[in-house]
Amino acid sequence: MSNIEVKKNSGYGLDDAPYYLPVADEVEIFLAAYEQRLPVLQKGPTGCGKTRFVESMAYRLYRGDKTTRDRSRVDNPLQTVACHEDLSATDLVGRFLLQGDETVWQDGPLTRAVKEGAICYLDEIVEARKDSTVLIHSLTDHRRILPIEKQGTILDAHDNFLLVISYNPGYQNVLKDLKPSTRQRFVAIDFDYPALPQEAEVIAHESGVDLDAAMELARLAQKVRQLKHHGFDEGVSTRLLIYAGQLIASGVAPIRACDVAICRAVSDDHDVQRAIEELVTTIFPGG
Amino acid sequence: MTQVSSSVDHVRGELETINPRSAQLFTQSAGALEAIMSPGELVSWAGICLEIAGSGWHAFESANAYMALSMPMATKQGVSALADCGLYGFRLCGFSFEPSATYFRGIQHLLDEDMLDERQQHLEAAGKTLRESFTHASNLVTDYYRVAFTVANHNSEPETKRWCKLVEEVSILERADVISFLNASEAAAGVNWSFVQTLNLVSIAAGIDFLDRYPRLVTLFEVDVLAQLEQTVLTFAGDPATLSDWLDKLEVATAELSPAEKRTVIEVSHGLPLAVLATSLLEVVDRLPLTRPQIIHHWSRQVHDYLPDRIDVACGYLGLESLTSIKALEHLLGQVNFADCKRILQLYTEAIVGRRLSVEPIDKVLPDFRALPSTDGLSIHLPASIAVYPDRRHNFDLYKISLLHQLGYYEFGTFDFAGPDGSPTTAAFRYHFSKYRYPELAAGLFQLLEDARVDWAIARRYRGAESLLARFKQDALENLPPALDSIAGNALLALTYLSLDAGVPPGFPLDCVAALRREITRLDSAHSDVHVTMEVVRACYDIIMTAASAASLDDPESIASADAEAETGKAPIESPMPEPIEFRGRLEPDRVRINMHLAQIEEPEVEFSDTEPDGVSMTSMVDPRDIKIEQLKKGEVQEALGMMITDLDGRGIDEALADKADDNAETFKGLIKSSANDRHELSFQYDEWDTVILDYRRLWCTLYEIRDIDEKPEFVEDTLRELRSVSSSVRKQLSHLRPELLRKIKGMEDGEELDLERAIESRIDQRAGLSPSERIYIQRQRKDRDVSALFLLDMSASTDDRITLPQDETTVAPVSHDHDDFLHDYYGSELVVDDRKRIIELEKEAVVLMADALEDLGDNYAVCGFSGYGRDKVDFYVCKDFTEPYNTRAKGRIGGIKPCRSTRMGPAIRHATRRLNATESRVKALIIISDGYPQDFDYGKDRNSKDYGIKDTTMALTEARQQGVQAFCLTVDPSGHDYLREMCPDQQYMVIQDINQLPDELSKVYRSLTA
Repeated sequence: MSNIEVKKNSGYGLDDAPYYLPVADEVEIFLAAYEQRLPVLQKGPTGCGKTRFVESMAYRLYRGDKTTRDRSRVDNPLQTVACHEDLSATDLVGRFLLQGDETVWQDGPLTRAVKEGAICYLDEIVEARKDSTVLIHSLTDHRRILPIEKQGTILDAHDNFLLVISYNPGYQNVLKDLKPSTRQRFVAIDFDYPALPQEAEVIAHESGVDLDAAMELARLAQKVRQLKHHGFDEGVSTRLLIYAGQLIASGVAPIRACDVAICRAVSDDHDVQRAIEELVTTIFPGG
Repeated sequence: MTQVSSSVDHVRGELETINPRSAQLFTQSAGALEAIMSPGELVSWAGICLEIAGSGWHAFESANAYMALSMPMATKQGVSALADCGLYGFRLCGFSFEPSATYFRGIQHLLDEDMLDERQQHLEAAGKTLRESFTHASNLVTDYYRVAFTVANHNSEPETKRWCKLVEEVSILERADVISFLNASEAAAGVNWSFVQTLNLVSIAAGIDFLDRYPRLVTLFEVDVLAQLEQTVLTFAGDPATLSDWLDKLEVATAELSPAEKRTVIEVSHGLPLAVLATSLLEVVDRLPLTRPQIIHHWSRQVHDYLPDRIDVACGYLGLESLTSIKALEHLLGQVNFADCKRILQLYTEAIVGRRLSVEPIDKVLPDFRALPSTDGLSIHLPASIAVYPDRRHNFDLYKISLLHQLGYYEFGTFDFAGPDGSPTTAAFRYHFSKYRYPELAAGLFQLLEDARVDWAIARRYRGAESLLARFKQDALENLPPALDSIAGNALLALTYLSLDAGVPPGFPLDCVAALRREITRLDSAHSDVHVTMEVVRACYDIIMTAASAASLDDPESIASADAEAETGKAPIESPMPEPIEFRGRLEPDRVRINMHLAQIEEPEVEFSDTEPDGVSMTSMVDPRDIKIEQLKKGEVQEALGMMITDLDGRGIDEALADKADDNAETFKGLIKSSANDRHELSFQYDEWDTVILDYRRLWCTLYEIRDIDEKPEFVEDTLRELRSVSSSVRKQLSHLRPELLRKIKGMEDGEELDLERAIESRIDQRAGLSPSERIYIQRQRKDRDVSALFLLDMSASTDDRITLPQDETTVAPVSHDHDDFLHDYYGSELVVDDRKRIIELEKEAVVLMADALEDLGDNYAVCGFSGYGRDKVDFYVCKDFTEPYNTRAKGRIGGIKPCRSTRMGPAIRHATRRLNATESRVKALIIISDGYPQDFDYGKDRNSKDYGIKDTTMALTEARQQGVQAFCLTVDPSGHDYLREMCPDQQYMVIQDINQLPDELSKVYRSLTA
């Protein structure tokens, strides 16, 4: 079912520069890969900034300092698809729809990106059905083509088209791992949670909380991540820290903000929650 | 010569023949009495004297005593009173001279003390009664008069009268009892006789017992407490035997208590109706917070819920045996137990330091031993419970700060100290301190200063902990002594004050405080590390030495003593260290470094397993037991061994290092190995239901999960071969079991539901002229069986018996091997040549057949056995675990099951339930195969009673059911109906008459449980 309807100027059009703080050389690598139109695979835990990174890159390439005239004309430079277990090839490529007595073809997001020369970002690709992962094979090697089976046609990808996929090696099980035949078509960039000062900077920027509190939040996250083997695989994401920061910025007491945004969110195990609460009261005064 | 004087002379003459001394006394007394007596009275008096003196052997002694009191008595009491007294004494001479002599001396004493009043009549009256009861008991009567006058001397007239009444009451008793009474009265002369009189009304035996103890009690208790104790005794007097037992224990238990604590004990006992209850209380007096009487009172009042009917339960409550009681007390105390928060502290530790340091309780607490936090590089040791503060949160915070401080050593690099060049890797600290003239002082300074640095670093990094630290520092300050009596001691104390963020108290006897303050302040900086601490140690050490030598110049004696101490290497101080601060604990840096070093030599394979039963057992920790020493390098062995040996015998490092050659590697391995127990044993503690106190006994049983079983792999194959036909029947039985879980399968060509998405797609394809897919249905298929089953085999010694078939006529009486299994071990296998199978073999065969069939069925199952001896050693053998494949090892372990010891079923069932719950399966079945009722040597106080074990097992089965585990008991014991009926509902047990039917029945049971 095609459910991805992109509206112009809705935020997907990348009108403003997204904030992204580089932690290593990922920006240079991505730009170089784009230059050569090499598909990119982003690996990393949830909430560490993968999506934000690809948005930031899309902005630079289509709206910012690296843009070209033809790229600036693309309405939706970033076609993002959040993959799920029922996502089929049809959902990506497109399908015939019934309109009165007629059938009408509707492009899927991948087809749109291929045609327009946008970046197609398939988030959590391993969640998708096998037929959809195989579909991207021909787009990610020298052929750069997309066969549209139902129409009986083959699309050549636009010069500006780039496929970016992401996955999280942490919690996917063996059955849902990427097949080597898929994996080995991408330049892989590893992501992880930023180091303490950078993470604090990100939290402060995104949530509006002062840098001291952001630093404490980042320190808390560092500690909580050391517990990731106990019932929660991912540790606490930067995204959750930003939520906590936003609550603090809007006047919620830090301990309470961490309680709702972090302790309760990362685990249902009572002891783990309690241990994190104790960490929170160790780090934040006023407990 | 008058008639009078001739009579007197006659008497004198007579007396002269009896005893010259008497005659002399008579002459003196008569001379004096002449002045106040009429001639007739004098003659009469002289007559009495002679009568007494002539009344028998040694009677002159009585006469002498009479004559001695005559003049004062005649003066004070009158002549007729003297005459009466004489006549009374004379009557006593009928026994022997002793009673009357004692009587006269007693009267004389009272006279001297001006205490001769009605007391005399009371004594004489009681004496008369006693004499009438014991007409030939001279010694008894003598004792009576001796004691009577002692009592009269110590008591007022009314009290004396009460005592005399008591004498009249006891004079109906046996002679021995009267003697006891008299002896006790003499020792307890100052007792409250009115109380004893009342007590005697309840029980004369209790009265005597009390009197007997009175002299000791009076030294033990203050007056008002003693009064309350008397009332308590009165309450308990109905049962003199238990009263006596209580008083015995009371004397022992309260001997070391403070007056306030004794008061609490008596107050609580006073509220109890029976001595047996108060005795239970005394048994745990050392575990009660007697310094907090309100809590004790509150706690003890709850015992009335069980009175008057459930005395045993009440005893269990007061004796802190029942779970309810322990919990009530802990709740009132705000006590936090390590066991309850272990996992939280464990997680907290891992989060803070990011490595697997285990958190363990300090459980071997000796009297006078302070359970201080510490670390050894592998684990952090914390007190088993904390009840320092009245509320739980505060106590937990103490745990947290103690833990954070220990973690601070790791986080802030205490153990990064490498020492000067040439330091042994594992003894850098000791080596470093050995360079000081007084190593102990340097080490003491280091602990203190490093503690201070770590606390400051914690406060800087963890702002939330800062306020907590400040609070505990404040509390620690309150416990510091004002000053010590040596310069070094005071310097350390001053540093302690400074480390606790407090100023040194005014007038502190030390001149160098300012210099010390300057040095210690260097540690309160983000840039300070352990090396800075070492510099500060040096500086402080020098300051102290300078101060000490300046002082010794003033005092020549101290120079001499300092020199003497210098030779022994001890610091020139008498009390070297102020007591460690509670939350900071002890620091043994070299020990930590040894363990960290060993752990680095070979990091074991770390695996994080979700199946850990507790979630906290540190199987993946770097455990010293996991470290294989085979790959130690020679140099490392040398160093480590040196350290080890130094630890063991306290000698210097250099010496130890020099002594040890490389070939000692084997010794070292031995040291490590001998300290390690079987690495496969995990221990668990379980409550046990006590049917007497009607409550759980907390953490009563220790169960060891054992995986190291002698393997006998051929058993399984042999069994399957031998029982091929049975095996196929079991498989057939089980093959009837069907998967019961439905699973939705999409994209089927037919099914119960339409897959809407695919259906629409197919329709569109049809319209678009493409070939539509036919797979548009959803089917519900039974694909899964979500079953976990645990087979729990009784491995008690009795399963070694041969089976008795119903047709067997030569039934051998079953022998219980539980008590003499050493004999059994010795003779067991060769006693009789008998080809009947043993019960255990049949149990094993049945399980083997089941396992074989279950492998086909795909159910998750485990095979375990249990045995043990006593509550501290319940063995739980895991032959095949749920997650483990049914491989040669598992088969070998099943084959290796053999009869061991007792049958303590409760903990085994509880553990099996826990294991089953961990599987999170929808259907959880526990199948217990046993051959008799639950028993163990300490399964209940009364060893002969089966009731305790049966009730505990019943409770364990009930708990299992409550947790969703379906338990089923199979027994081959023909009398099984008797107790199984009590233990489980009808449908949940089976007594197998023909044991050969076991495999068949087992499969049926399995079907019914899991279908």
